[in-house]
Amino acid sequence: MGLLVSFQQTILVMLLVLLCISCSEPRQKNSSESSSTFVAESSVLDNRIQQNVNQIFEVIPPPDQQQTATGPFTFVNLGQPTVVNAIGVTEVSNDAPVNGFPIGETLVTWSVNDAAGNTANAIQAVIVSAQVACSTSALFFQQRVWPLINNICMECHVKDQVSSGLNFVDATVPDFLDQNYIAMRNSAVLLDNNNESVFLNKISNKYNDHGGDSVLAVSSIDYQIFSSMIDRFGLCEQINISPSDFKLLSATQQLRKTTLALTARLPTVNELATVNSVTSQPQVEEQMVAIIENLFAEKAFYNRLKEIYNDLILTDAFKDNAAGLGLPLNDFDNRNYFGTTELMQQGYNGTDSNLLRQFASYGISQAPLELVAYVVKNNLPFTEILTADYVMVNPYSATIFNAQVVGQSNFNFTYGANWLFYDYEQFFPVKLIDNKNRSIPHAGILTTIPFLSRYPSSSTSLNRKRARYVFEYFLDTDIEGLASRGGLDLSNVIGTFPTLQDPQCKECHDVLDPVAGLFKNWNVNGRFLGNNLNWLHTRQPPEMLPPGFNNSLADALPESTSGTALRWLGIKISNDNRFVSSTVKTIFEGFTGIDLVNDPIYFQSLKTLFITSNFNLKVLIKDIITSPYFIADNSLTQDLTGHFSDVGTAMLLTPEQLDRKINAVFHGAKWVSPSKRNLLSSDSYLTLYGGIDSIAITKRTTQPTSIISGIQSRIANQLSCELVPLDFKQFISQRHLFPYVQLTTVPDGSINTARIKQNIQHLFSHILGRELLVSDLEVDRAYNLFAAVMDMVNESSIAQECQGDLLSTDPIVIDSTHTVRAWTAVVNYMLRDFYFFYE
Amino acid sequence: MNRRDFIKFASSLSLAATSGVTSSQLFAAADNYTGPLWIMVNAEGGWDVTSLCDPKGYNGPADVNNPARLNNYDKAKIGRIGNLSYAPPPDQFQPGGLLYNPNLFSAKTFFEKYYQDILVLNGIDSQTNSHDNGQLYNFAGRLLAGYPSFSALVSGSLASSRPLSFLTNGGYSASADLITPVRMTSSGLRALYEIAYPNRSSNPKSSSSQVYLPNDVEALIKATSLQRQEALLNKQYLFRIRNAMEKFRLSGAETVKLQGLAEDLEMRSPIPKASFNGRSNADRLYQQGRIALATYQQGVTASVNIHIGGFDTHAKHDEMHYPLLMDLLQGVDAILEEATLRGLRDRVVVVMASDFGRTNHFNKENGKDHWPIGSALFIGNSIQRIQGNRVIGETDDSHQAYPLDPVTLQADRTNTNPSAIKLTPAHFHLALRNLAGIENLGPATAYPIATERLNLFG
Repeated sequence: MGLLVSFQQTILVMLLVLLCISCSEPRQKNSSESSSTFVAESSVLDNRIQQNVNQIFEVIPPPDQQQTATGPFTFVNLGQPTVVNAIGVTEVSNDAPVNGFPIGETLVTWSVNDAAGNTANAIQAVIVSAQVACSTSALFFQQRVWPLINNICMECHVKDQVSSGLNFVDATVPDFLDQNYIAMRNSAVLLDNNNESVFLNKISNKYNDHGGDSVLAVSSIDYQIFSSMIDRFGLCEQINISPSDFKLLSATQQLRKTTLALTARLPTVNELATVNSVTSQPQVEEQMVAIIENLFAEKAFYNRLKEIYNDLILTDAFKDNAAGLGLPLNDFDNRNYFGTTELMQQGYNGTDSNLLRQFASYGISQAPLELVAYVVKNNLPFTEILTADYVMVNPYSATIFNAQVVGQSNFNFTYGANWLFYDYEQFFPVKLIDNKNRSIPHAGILTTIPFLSRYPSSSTSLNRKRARYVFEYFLDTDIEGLASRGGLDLSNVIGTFPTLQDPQCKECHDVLDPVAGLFKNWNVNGRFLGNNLNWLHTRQPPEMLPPGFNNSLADALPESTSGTALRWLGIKISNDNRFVSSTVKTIFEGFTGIDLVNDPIYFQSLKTLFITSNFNLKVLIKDIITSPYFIADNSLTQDLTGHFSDVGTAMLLTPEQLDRKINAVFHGAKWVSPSKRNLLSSDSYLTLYGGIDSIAITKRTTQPTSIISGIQSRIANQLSCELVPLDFKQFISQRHLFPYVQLTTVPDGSINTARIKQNIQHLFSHILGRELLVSDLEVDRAYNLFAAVMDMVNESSIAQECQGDLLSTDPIVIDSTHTVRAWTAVVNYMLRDFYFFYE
Repeated sequence: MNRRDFIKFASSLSLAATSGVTSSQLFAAADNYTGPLWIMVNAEGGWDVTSLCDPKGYNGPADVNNPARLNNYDKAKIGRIGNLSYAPPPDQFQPGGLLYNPNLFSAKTFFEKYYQDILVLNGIDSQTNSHDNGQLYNFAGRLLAGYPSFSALVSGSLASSRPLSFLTNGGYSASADLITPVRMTSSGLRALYEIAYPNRSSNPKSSSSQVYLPNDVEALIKATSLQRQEALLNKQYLFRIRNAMEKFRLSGAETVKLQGLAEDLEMRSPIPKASFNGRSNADRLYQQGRIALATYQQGVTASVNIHIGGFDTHAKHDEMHYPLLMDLLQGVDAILEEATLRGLRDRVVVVMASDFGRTNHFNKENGKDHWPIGSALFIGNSIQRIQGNRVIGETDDSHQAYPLDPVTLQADRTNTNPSAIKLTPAHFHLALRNLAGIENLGPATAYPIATERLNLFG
């Protein structure tokens, strides 16, 4: 009697209980109530029934969520429940409100059905607090509100046209987002006699007093977005982020992250000693700045910098395929110097010829990015990337261009000479003179063959594509965002030249076309035309606006600079605040993965710093690398609020970065797949792991996918297998992974166990950069894995693939104590870790 | 016993049957997806629909050199099947012409084969000549930056837990963070076995391959890793890092389904390369579709962006553009054949569109420039019904769009109907959302399309 009930009756009881609590409406949570009624019920059953818990279908809700309000309703990432003992899950649902959570606490009921017809429920609490950081409001404004303003309001609410005074500025204005944010905020505080928002009543035309045509229904999502923004203004508080708000990386961790980010290596012993010789954060920062200065001298830093800038301008499209760069070379008589016929006539064989041609192609294709590196390396104002009156060449491209490198004798490629001596990665600045004896009017990146070829023109595009990308890359301006797209009537355009005459076209073309005209001296394929005096504005009637900047007479291209129009443009850009904005954003995002627009205070400080340093990019990078954005590791308060939503980096390493990190952490190791591919293989892993080819795939994948996860698993399996035996092969004093244990160090509950844990602690530090106490739960977790695998092993030796060139009789291979395999499992486990694949 | 105590209790019982539901849900939507594979074919660059489904041509031999002609073929040669019209090859590509190529596919073949299933929308006004905006409008349905592509929207709404829910091969693939687009190109297939079977060492394609770890050890490592990820997540309070940890944790779920995909693609022979007659673009397009069909059949995909570029022919239009159009049709035909072979013909919906159209005349380099008026083609199935053998929307002889009556969908050729409207991508996107059953779900309501509701699909 008593509780001697059958399993089926147990289930029936539990189901009945579930039905009673499966409410569809959220309700207040009883703190004594468990998240799963099964558990609560099972706790009162006797032991025999307790044993049936194993077989009972259960659902465990995701962790309770706490978030700052983004408005009257907030979308919250609920996470996922865990289902236990399901016999085929057929449905998972919850009753979360579709339009977001209100401020306060809401209980979400999760329901899971299985194929046997069972249902299990669990409850998750969601708390939305009524505070919001202005930084997140700025992001919301940029992403959701500004597109609506631009699309709907800008037709009228510009340039003091509206008597109410609510006028916005268009995207050509520097800091237009800041200005428009402030304009809207100033309007947001206005209340009418009914204590209602004037702004919202206007946009909905509640009192029929909105002069414009565009009004929004109160039920529309667009109205809700504006309403949410109004609410945010009322709720937001100015937050100045300071390091004391966070748990920062330790000095060692910060140093490691810095050296990996800038130079793809681990810190040296001296560097570690330096940062650990001081105690306070300001002292650490001081030491870090000095170390960073040294890092700037390393080649790897410039490789990373070039990568960041290629992500922007994509000229690596020609890195492995410079054939597309051939046409502009027709003005240089040595263009075939490295042609196969020419070289083989000298005596070079086919292989050598290929190599020389590749080096020459490399020299031409890398010119824009090498200029970026050169300017930074030599502490020149970064504006010089657009104003440089020279181009970068390597010995091979210098030969093609017949260019004289100052202080260098001509490179000698005559067959028989030591031609392999010339480093194809060594670049020099030169001024080119073509075969018509014209001095090429260089203008930094803008006049390089790769840039002009990557963004070719046509007889109908008329350099507008080039101009468009100049605006996007260097002037922080999306040309296509300048005007509302809705309502365009392109089938009834006005005028023979609508870009000059039709108001709906002029909005964008008035901005774009003058800059397009500045490319007039270069043909569609990037070949220099000389001083082209016949641009379209000279025709009768004119077909295009005259070349210039900002479409004002004051900014028209002076006649005296007609032949160097692009250099004139470069100078104009370098004096424009938008160049500062675009550079700061590019560099910040390049090193942190963060879009900086949501912290206008810090953004402004970086811009100011960049300007006052005379555009010294190193100064900018130093500040970013030592900021809370880079070194914040966690929040000091355990409530997840919007205040801290923007600091801390979590960049999924690119395939190139991961390849370098493996090399750095494992001292020269490289992951190569069974089919001899690696992370840089352009036919497979490079793009599968989220990389770009700069041609068709131009945006990196920044979120992990199943494919990426599969690659990570393979890397973990392969590297751990290969590297653990290799490390044990070394004398203990020379090991990188296992300096505290021997093959015979097996758990004994005493000294050996302590050594094993110490080594685990070391692995966390070495592989993942995490500093844990030996007593940390994560060390225990890894230790438990180690011990479990030791017991699970039943093969007589390590896997064949892991043996490398070790003899079958080697103790490492035999692994009689099972420690090699246990350590392989631990290293494998660490190579699957978030902190390995992210920085 | 509270929840956290239960977790410890459960662990102590070594519950090996724990299974994780793999949905990270921003909106309350269950993932029991049984819908079709949504195939969005993106002819990037601006396709010339007067060379395809909205033919014009010149008026007889006397008109062949008329500088105002729209096309280089005689109007009299326009093909018709059922209610559909299709363009003939340009004169140079006709038999006897300088560019005649017997290996090229033909619009005649395509339309005669599929006309019963095809809905043609002509006279779609993209309201832009900008590539980016044209892509945005035609593949997301609204000219507002940040809008997710339809593929992302349907996957994010209905199949967010699938590991490869949204495959992309290029073109407009913005996802507004609803779902992570996954690249899975045909060149990536070479590595697929290595990725699907990460523990196989010597020969990933073989089940008898050596392995790096015993399976039980690998399973223990994975389980321990999941525990650590959960613990890290519970201790992390910075949103960005936390968010990344969450996505990292979820990305590992169901990678085992890649195995089924690898086996499928290995076991099922593709349509032979030779049948494409050397048309590599068509073959590449087909490969994109083949992968998507395989992943769909494995239950891991709901939508795919198929991509073919090169349509932006500002010079040498016929020479460059026409073969590409035929490759596009050949590729889509092959994809539909593959779907039939797999028994999935009734489980796909195909949408073919582009940034916009091309001008109603040739420029001085025999090219065609951007033109806001374009077309789109739709092929449904017996469940997602799109009534075929119909043309909605019309253009005049100079390829200007007539407005439509929103109820009868008839063209207002005389411009006398006050309620007539311009057909835009917003209209067909609203119809697609309705067809997919996502119109009233969270993601779609967060990215609304406000326009007239037209009964486009019948």
